[in-house]
Amino acid sequence: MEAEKAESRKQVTIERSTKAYYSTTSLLKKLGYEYQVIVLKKDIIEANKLQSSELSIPLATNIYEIKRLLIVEDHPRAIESSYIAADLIPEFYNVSLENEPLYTILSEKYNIDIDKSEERIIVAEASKSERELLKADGEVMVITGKSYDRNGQIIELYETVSVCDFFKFKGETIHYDK
Amino acid sequence: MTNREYLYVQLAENIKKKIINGTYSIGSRIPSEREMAEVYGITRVTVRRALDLLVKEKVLVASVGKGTFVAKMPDIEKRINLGEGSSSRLVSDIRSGGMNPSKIVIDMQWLKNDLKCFPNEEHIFKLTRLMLVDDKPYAIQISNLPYSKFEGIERYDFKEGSLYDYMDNYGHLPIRISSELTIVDMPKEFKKYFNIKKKKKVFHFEYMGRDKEGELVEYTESYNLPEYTEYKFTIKRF
Repeated sequence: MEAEKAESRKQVTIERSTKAYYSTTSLLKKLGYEYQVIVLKKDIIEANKLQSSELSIPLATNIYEIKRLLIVEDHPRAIESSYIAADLIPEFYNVSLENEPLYTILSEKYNIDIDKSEERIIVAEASKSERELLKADGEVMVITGKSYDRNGQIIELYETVSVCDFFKFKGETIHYDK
Repeated sequence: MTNREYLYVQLAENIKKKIINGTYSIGSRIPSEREMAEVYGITRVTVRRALDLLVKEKVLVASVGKGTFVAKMPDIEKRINLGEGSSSRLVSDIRSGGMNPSKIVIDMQWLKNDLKCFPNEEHIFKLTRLMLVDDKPYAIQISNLPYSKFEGIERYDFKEGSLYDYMDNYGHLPIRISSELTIVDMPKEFKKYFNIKKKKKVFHFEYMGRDKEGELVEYTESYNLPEYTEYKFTIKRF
């Protein structure tokens, strides 16, 4: 059943560079795909041990947990979760995330310019909720990362869980010492 | 943010953390399969897979009729980073990941060229190797080299020697390597080397290596098991 669902899904693959960042939605726009962002969650929570350590904030500090589902060409492709200290983005609760990329909002409304991100890609078994949201069986691509502003301050922790064929990554290595 | 792994690996990591932070001391009995299945809301099969993994790693020891006991402190999770900072030599990257590399040559032959990336080559040398970590199958690499630049390559012992060392000897070491990463199903023809029966997603890398003259000297495909693989990189925003 799930396999049939996957087969009936038109493949959409976004090519990403490992050197330069462009938001997924800007790449989708450029490629002419129809997409929709559904906000699943936008709540203030208390940072747990891992989140506080990664964001360099005290334990139980208020942070925003933002979870969005990205639907492309009528099929769910990715779940994007972000964690940002609440005092960096006051009144974020009233901000609409459906039409603008998060980093555009951070820049235009809060004067926070993301300068670089560190990412890690692994493949993992989808959880029950991910299987339901992504209508996909088996494994998913999991991208976890941290984003920094121009002063090197960590701004955001994030996790993107996508169907495996949604992203491909291109890079280049030059071995100058050879 | 969570540590994302297969469910049984997640549980095994959780048990390891509890050993490291002292919740389970060495020599103590850990909860039974049934208890853990109830607490975590997972099947007993998943719990058993996690326990089997830790028994294999000698972190736990099972005693029939008595339960499962902590035998030793676990090692820290090991993964091979194939992104930023990797050496482009899998053997070295496996060592950097704290594991022991070895390899088996599955096939080597020269073929009539049907690869568009080498438009002026009549023949291609194709080398297929199985890479192992700690004696377990990890990746299959299929390297294609232009035969005109490496005549006599079939005489080289690739089980002992390195492909890049060989290419370096001929003045064609890949200096500039472009890569493409996708997640794909393990191709049917390679499943037998990994004892895989069902569909399984794996990391798929395509590498195009150019030498110091800018000439394409290598086209390699690699299928790597996800259990040991991570891909890290830093991106700049413009």
